[in-house]
Amino acid sequence: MSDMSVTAPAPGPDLVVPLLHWDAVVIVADESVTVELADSELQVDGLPPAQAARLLSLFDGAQTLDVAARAAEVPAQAAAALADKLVEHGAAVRLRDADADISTATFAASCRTLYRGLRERLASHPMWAGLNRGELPKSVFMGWLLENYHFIDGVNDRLALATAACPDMKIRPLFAKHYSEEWDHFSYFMTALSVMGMSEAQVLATRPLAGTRAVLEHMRSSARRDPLQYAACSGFLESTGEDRSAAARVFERFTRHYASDKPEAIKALADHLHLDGVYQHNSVVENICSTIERLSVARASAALQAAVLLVETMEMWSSDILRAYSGRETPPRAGFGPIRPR
Amino acid sequence: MTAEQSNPAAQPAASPARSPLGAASRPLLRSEVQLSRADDDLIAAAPDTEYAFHGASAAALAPIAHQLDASLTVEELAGRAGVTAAELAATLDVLAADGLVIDLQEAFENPTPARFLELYLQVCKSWSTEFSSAQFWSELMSGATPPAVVLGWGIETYHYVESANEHMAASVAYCRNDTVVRRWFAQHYVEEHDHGRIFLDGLEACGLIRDQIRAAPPLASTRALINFLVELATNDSLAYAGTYGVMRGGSSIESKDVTKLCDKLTSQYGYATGLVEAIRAHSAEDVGLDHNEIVLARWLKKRGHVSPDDAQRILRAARGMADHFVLFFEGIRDYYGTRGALVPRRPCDARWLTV
Repeated sequence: MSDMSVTAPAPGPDLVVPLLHWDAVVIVADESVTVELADSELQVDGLPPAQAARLLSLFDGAQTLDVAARAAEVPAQAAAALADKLVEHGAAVRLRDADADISTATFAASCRTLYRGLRERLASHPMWAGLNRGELPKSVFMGWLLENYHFIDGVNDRLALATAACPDMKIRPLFAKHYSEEWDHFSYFMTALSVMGMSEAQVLATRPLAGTRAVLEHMRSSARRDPLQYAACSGFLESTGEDRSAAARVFERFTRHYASDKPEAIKALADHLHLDGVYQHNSVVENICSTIERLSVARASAALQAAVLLVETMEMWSSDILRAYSGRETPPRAGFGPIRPR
Repeated sequence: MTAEQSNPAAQPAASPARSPLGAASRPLLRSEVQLSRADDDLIAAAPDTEYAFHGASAAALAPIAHQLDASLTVEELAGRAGVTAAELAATLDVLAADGLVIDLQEAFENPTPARFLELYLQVCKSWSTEFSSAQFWSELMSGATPPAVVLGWGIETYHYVESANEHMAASVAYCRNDTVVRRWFAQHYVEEHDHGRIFLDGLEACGLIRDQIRAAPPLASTRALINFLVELATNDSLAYAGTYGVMRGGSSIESKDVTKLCDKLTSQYGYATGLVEAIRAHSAEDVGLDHNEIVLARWLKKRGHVSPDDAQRILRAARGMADHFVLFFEGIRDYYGTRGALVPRRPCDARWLTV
C-alpha cells in the first residue's frame, strides 16, 4: 500500500477533468479512505473521510477539478494533489481530448487486456472454484452442464440475431460465417448429458434458469444496439478458451471429481473446445475492428460496457446455478417450481 | 394415509371452486410451503401451520416432493413414488384442501377466462412470495440494511421504472394484430413513461448526482429483468401481459400498506427520506391511475377463451417474472452489500484509452 498525504501544493489547470477508473473500489473507514485497484491500493490521508469520499465520487469525467473541489468543500490545492496522486498511481486520468476518436487497434488491444482481468475475476467465482476443487455436490455439476447446454444452444438466439440485425455489410459476413461454424455445437453438451444419464427428451423438457436466459438476452440486446457491442461480448466468450492447458486442467479435474466412471462425458466438452480452437474464433474483435474506419469514444465506451456487463451477467449466472442446484437431488427443472430449492 | 396439522385453526385461503385431486391433476406446491424430513416423517411447513406426514404417506411424498411443480400428473408422480394414483391423490389432497397445493391441470383444459384468471392470480400471489420474503426485505424492515444497499436499491428501482420506455414502448410497437389491446398497452405506457423522474428526484434529494444516476449501468440482475420484459414484449404480447400478475403480487396494491412501509422506512433510514417519498409518490400515482386492473384480464375477457397454449405461455411468463424478481433482489444485496461498492456505479469510459 502507498501512503498518500494530501498536502502537496500543486493545483491543476482550471479545466482539468479527473476521471477515476470505473473499476476502482473506494473504502471509507472511520479515519481514512482507501482506493483499491485490481493490483494495488492507495490510502488517502489529510482529508476528512466523508469529504475525501465525496471528492472521489465527483472525479467522474464530467466535473472539472475546481467544480468537484467546491462541491466536496475541499481546498482546491488538496483536491489537485489528490487528483495528481491518483493519476500517478494509475487510478485516474486527466481528460483533455474528450471528443477524440479511438484507433481500432487500440480498442482491440484494450479488449484483450480487459478480458484477461475479467477471466480471472470470473474464474474466482465460488461456483468455479468449488467445482474445480470438487467441493460442490454432483447436482451442481449436473446443473452447470445442463445450463451450459442451454447456453451453447443459445447461439441460435444470439449470433443468428447479431447476423440478422447487423447493418454493416462488411461485418455481417463475419457473423454469418461464425454462426455457420457454431450453430450445432449443442450436440457436444447433449452427448455429455446423455453419457451422464439424461435422455434427450428430459433435456429438451427442462426450463433454463433465469440466469442462463439473462446471458443470452444480454447478448441479444447488444446485438440489436451495435455489432461492435456484440463483438466485444463474443470476444470475451471466445477468449475463455485461449489458455488450452488451463482448460485441459479444468476438464481433468471435472472428470476426477464428477465423472470418473464416465470420462467420455468430459471428453465431449474437450472436443468442443478443440473445435473452437480450429476455427480461430478468438480473433473476433480484431476481425471486426479491421472493418471499422473511425471509432468514437462513445461507441467504444458502450462496447466496453457491454463486455463488462456480460461478465457481470455470467457471475450472476454462476451464482444462480450454485443457488438453484445446491439443494436438489436431480437437476431437471421442467415445470413451474421455485427458482430456489425449498 | 396419516397426516397431522399443528394449527388446525389457521386455514390458508382455499381455492374457491375446487374438485378433489385425481389421477390427471397437475399438483403445484405453493411457494410458501417448505418440505423437510424429520426421521421417517415428512413435514410440510406453511406460514401459519405445519403438516406432519407419517408412515406410508410420508414414504409416498418423499421421493416426489421436489417435483410438485405441475410438470407431472398425479398418475405420473405416483409411478415414480411406487404408489397408486388414488393413494397419492388422497395424500396431496390434505394440502390441496387448504389451498397449499394448486391443481394446474384445469388451466390447460380450455377454462373460461374468469376461471383461468382465478388460477393465474392464485399462482402469481404464491410465486410473488419468493421475492417478497427475500432476505433483502427482512433486513430492510429490521433497519439493518447499510446505506449503500438502501440507495443502491433506489438506483436499481429507478432503472427498472425508467425501463418502461423500453419494454412498455416495445409492447405497443410489437402488438400488431389487435388494435384494441394495443390501445390498452399504449394507455398504460403513456401513464408510466415519465415515472423514472420520480425516483431521480428522490435520489437527488438523498444527495446523489442526477447525471451519475442516469449514467450508472444497471446491475446485471436489473438488466436481466428489463431484457426479459423487452424480449416478451417483442415476441409474445400475450405472454408479456402475463407478467403483470406477478408484478402486482397477484392482488391489488393497498395504499395503506405502502404508507405503513414508507413510514417505517423513514423512521429507520432518515438519510433516504427522498427515496422513500419517491416510493410513496409513485405508488400514489399508480393507484390513482387504476393500474391494478391488468391488461391480461381485459384481454382474456375480450377473447372469451384460453387455449392450452395460451395458458402455457402466460404461466411461463409469470413464472419467469418471479424468477427475475428473485435475481433482482439477490443482485442488489450481492453488489451493493460488498465493501467499497460504488454508489452509483460508474460506466466504462473509453476516454481512459485515449490518454
